[in-house]
Amino acid sequence: MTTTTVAAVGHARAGDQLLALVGRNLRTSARVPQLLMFSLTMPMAMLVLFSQVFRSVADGPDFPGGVSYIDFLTPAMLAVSTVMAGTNAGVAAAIDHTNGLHDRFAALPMRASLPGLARTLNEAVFTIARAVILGVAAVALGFRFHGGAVDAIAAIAVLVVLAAAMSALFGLIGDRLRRPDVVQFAGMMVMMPFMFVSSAFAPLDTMPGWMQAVATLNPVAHAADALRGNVLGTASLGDTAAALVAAAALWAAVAIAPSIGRRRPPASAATAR
Amino acid sequence: MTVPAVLVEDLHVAFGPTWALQGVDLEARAGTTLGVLGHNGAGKTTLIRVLTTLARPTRGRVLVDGLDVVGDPAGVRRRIGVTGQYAGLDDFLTASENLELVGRLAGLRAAAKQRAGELIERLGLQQLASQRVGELSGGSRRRVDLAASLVGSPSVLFLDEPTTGLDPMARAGLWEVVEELTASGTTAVLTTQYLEEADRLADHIVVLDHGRVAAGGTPTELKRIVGGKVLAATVPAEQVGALPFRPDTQQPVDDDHVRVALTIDDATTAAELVGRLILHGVDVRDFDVTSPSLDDVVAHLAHSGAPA
Repeated sequence: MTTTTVAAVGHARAGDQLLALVGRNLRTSARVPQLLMFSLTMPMAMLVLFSQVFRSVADGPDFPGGVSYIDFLTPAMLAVSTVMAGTNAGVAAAIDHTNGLHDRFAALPMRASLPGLARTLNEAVFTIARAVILGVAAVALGFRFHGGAVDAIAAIAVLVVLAAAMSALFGLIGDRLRRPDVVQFAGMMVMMPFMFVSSAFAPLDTMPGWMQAVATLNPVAHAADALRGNVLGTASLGDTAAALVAAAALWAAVAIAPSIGRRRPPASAATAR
Repeated sequence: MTVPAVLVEDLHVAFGPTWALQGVDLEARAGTTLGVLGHNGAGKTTLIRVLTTLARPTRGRVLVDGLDVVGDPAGVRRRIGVTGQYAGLDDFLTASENLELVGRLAGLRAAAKQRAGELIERLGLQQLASQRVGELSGGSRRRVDLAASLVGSPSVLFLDEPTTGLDPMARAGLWEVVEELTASGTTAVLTTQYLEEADRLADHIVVLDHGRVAAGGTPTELKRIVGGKVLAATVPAEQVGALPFRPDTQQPVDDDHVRVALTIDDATTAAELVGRLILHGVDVRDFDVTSPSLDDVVAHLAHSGAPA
């Protein structure tokens, strides 16, 4: 063994640690190009298929007049693909449990929330990349953006906050279930109601009353509505605010969930001495 | 009086209705190695998780390097290194990148790269440095994991069954590294299922059984309690009651024979006992004399009721 210089451990700055974790996630993503490719291009494939299979929805009496189905569908696909991609954060969290990295991080002088926050930042980056790819495909299918610059900025804000909420939600599921295969199935179970109990693929007016009621609590429904308004140039400040508040509320609920329901010691604990 | 590197007093840990640890007391002096010996489920990993701030004690006092794991977990984390049962590494990063990541998270900032290089040289990992961890053998992963636990120059190193699943060569290699570390002043707490491992590495051993301390002492003291050797003999089942000694364990071999085992002081005693068996007319089919295993330790403690 050779003589070494002993490095002194300093008080780590959260910003440095967060950057290191984000860099690790980006590097890891780049080294699994298949996952990156499918994650970025699957929404595009879904857009192409859905725009053809469900185009007759536009002929229904409840469909907004003067709107093409591709203009109706594209913003919804942006929201839905953000939900779908959120499951990646859950799987990534579960993998960190199975390979022991979760415990390694937890035993370091680092805030417990940083790995999850790093996954959220990564998801935000990929959400924007996905939006660009999806937008290019949509334009090829006849999509047109009817809003202005403010609408575009509002749309990006809604998408990023929704991505953060979904990344946090699925990350929590990954932390609780701790097995990537189980997380994948659980993610699908959670993802379905978010996607379909919303106006993403068809107007809410065509759904049963109870579904319309549930949709009022669904951040994906609010995001789809706000994004659609941005795309069509009809969004109000209220639409965007509702989408941001709904996603932020989910994010906050997920953030406080880990502290709820801690187990009490057994009844004999007090007398076990 | 110097402060122990690890001090555990009346530690209780409950998971739901189950007690994982009950009334555990132990300490490790600075610069020594404490071996924690026990079967699966004995509470070894729970103990390590409490000591490394990954689990909270239900009751009791736990100090690491003088700091309370509940009151100052961040301070404890700045002083410890942990090697768990599963290598805590990112499979898609190289060995070098993993060490650098841990260094940056530990607060080394720009020095993280240099520290990674130092550890690669120190642990002889040059051949593995640029390979992705997912492509490494189990033994190599453990060595990289051990390097990762040393990035922050810990004063107390926790090793949770570091050689479980490794082949004898890899195990011996890891033992050498641990010995070099402790020789340079690092305090180590090592859990293991292998008595041989604890005997080789530890200055003091604690045996955990069902969440309680079943015995404790130096390896020499423990062997004195348990016996230095184990005599196992296969004898006719009908003659078990007529043996000139009371065995610690007995297990049926077939319909007619039983394998009896007894912990003894040394091989000379074994020869005397076998002679007595023959003199008593016991038809000994075969026998062997081995070093005691963890099974022998626990069986002997259960048999003799030896106190901790």
